[in-house]
Amino acid sequence: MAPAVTKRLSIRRVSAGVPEMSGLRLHWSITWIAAVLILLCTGCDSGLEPPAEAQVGVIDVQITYEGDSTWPPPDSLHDLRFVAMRFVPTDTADFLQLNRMVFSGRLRYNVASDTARISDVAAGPFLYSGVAQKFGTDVFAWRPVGLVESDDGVFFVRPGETTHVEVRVDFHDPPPFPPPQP
Amino acid sequence: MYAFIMIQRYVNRGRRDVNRGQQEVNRGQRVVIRGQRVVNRAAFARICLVVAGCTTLALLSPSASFGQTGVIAGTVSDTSGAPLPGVNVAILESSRGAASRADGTYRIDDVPVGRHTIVASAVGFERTTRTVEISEGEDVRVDFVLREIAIQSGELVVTASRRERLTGGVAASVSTVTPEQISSRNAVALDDALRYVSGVQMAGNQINVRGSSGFSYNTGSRVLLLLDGSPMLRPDVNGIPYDAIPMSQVRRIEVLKGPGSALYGGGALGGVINVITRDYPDRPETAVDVFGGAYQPVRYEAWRSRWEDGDRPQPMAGISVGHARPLGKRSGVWTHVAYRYDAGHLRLDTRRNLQVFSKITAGLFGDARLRVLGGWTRRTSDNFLFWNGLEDPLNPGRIDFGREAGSSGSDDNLINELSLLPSYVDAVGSELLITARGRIFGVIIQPLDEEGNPRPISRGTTGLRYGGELQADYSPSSSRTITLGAIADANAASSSFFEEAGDISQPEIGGFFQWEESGIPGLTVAAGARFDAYRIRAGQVTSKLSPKLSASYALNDRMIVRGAFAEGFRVPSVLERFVSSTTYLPLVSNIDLRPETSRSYEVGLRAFPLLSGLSTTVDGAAFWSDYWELIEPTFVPAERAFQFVNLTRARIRGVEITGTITHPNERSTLQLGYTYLDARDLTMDRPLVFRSSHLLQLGATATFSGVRLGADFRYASRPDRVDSDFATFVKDAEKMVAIRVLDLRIGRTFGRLDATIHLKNALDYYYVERPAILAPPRHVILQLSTRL
Repeated sequence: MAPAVTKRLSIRRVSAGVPEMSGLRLHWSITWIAAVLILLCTGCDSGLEPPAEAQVGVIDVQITYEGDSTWPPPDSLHDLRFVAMRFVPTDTADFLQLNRMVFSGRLRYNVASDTARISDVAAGPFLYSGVAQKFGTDVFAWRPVGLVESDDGVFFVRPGETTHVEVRVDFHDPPPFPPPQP
Repeated sequence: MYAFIMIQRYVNRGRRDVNRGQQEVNRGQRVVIRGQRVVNRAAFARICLVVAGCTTLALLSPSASFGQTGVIAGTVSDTSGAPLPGVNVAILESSRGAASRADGTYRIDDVPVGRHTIVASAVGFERTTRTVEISEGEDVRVDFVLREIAIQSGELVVTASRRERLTGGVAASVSTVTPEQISSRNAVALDDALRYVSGVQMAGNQINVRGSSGFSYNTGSRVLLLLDGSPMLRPDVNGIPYDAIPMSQVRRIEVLKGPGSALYGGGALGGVINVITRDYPDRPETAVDVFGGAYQPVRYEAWRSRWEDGDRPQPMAGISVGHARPLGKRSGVWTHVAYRYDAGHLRLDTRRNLQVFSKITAGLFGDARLRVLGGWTRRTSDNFLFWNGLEDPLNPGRIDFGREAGSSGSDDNLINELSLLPSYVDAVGSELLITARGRIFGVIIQPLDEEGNPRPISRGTTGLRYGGELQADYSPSSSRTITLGAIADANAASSSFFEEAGDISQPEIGGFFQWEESGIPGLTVAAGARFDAYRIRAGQVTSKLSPKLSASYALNDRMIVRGAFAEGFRVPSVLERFVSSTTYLPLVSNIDLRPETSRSYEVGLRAFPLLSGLSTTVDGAAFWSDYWELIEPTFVPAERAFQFVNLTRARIRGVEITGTITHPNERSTLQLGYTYLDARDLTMDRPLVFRSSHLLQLGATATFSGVRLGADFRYASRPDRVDSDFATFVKDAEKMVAIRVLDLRIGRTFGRLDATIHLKNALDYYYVERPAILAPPRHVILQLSTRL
């Protein structure tokens, strides 16, 4: 049997020529199309911006402590503040909704009365407010010990004005929580 | 032929017998009978003659294999000399042909003698023909050099099928990022490079591929990161370490859009990102890249006034030096050192990053090759967790739960990350390729005190991911490849935030299989599956089988259609299962978390239309993905705490269109990518949170008289839903707008020095990529690069 014969064929390159002038025009066309597309998409919007000057007011609170042996023992009094909520809570977990409430600094202990003032409060209604006691280390260990009761607990903060509210606190007869539903 | 001659002789003898018989008829009946016998013999002979003739003609047909054939063999390569696998080489007007192998060789046997026209064709390349003359028993060598007709289609990608394939023949949506794109955009970290990929959206430091991820505080990435094929997710949170990638040594980044668990296992729920580093050059080279710039102060006085440095530009700078050289005929090394400082555009947002990487490649016996990639990254960062509201976004916020010292929105850490990735590759004959990979990835996180000193490791987090895999690619023919593999990985982490003390381990084993057939010209079908088993805790194992099926068909040289089905899954990270803390928010563990799963369908079309001589690529895809048991952090009233829970059944469907137009002389390029997403939370029947419906990327480059111009535009529509538990206690966390970011650049080469000026966020547009953190405003960067 005759031995196999191997041939090698030459390689031929194929080139696709493009007329230089038409390519240059297309080059510019591509560039300008891209620029116009980008400008059209950007628009005049500048994105996020500072909020409009907030309409704010002040809450001024008068607190009276009532009842004999009023104050709880120290191991159950971890914090005490005035809290105003823009909603009516249904669970202690609602205390996480920090964006929907304002609160004062820590109140004084073992006094017969106290005052609190909260400034730069965004105007609007508050539906449930009062003095809250933190009775444990858990972040949810809070309970109301006195509520704003006038006008069913609802008051309004108006721009540039001070709203006065009163709270009577009795640690031994705190209001029920969660509040009864209407 | 011999039979034919013998039959003819028999016929002639019969004729003579007939004559003799006639002459003997007068001698009596026995003579007559004898004559009749002769006549019969002649008739039989004539019948035999006809049959023999037909048989001879049949035997002499082209399909005959009686030594009248030859062989055509050779190689197929591109214009740079690189072999091209998967190219169809066929004989016109016949069913004979072959597909080129991984090394570019092909062979067609049993080619009949004569003149033939053979054609080499592949999507994205010029169809090339040759005419050959075959003689009996001859081997003819024909080598093809194919010219690309579209840049994108000529790319080789590995992620879609765990071995190199041309992009056009892959039945999946794969995007690639080239070193030129990384360098031209000054992408110094991985997330910088991924922002410009169509269908990809960054939610802070979380990658969102086609809406698969949303935002989950970088705990549990739904996109798997590979570095040279090895998983690179942080062992504690399964998040992506964006700063632990040597970007200047990247050869290619591949983004596989869609579930990839059938080949890569857990973590590839929404996609796979494979960062492939280079080997070494032909000659020694040293590369030096330097950049410096600053963030422009924000234009709103109301914001600037709340930060003492608000009126000053905040600086950033960096340098990377890399040296690469061959060490022998098949060996080489590169080393890369980089340092980066970023003062940040926010208060308490400073970062310092030091990175050292090296890779050595050694040619061993035969075709065997050993590669070892190792690196160390050290990073100090002031972690800005959330802002102080839209009225004061430059300062960290506070969460005050009624304690004197509230919880700050910043967290400072020192992070050390170490990686070691050895791999061994060997070709056993021309049909079998063996790959073995090992990996070690460790992380140490230490909180910083008020003076910036690291606290003890016991107050932080440590984690280690280690393991290996073995893969065999068997190609018994040019049209079939069978891939088999096995993996074993362990994942241990320890943290002061975990409920359980000591190391928590989550080992896994798995096996994968894939069968690829391309016997019919233009058609490639692949089917496979992967089985994974994870040990969640002592005595408890979870397992998952992830199948895949895909097909692609080249309608002609300029159009290919594809279809794919795949399933994916993600096992909850150690942090999601075991985190327990009351430091900032009440967090409780959930050790019974179940894996997230997904199922995805996709059809697509890739075309290379000729447009007035320009090089064009258009790709369109429609996809539908279903998700089950998606894990979300949410407040659980019964626990009085936040917890990671299996919450959501979701569906994400959409379409994606990408296109590239390139001038033949590459003086200008236009890229476009648009993605539409319909992302739905089926549990609550509402839009999925933090998913944009419309994503658009536009990119353009042009060169005029040596001056390089470039522009990139990114758009993402405002998510349809932005509410979350996070927004109940972080001020203005629900404030999100559409993203419109324009980046511009201009550059020129002066001798060996490349200089580029970048104007990032040129329109000074203010937005957030993730809730409650303002994204960078306009900033300017000068970039200088040289190659020695």
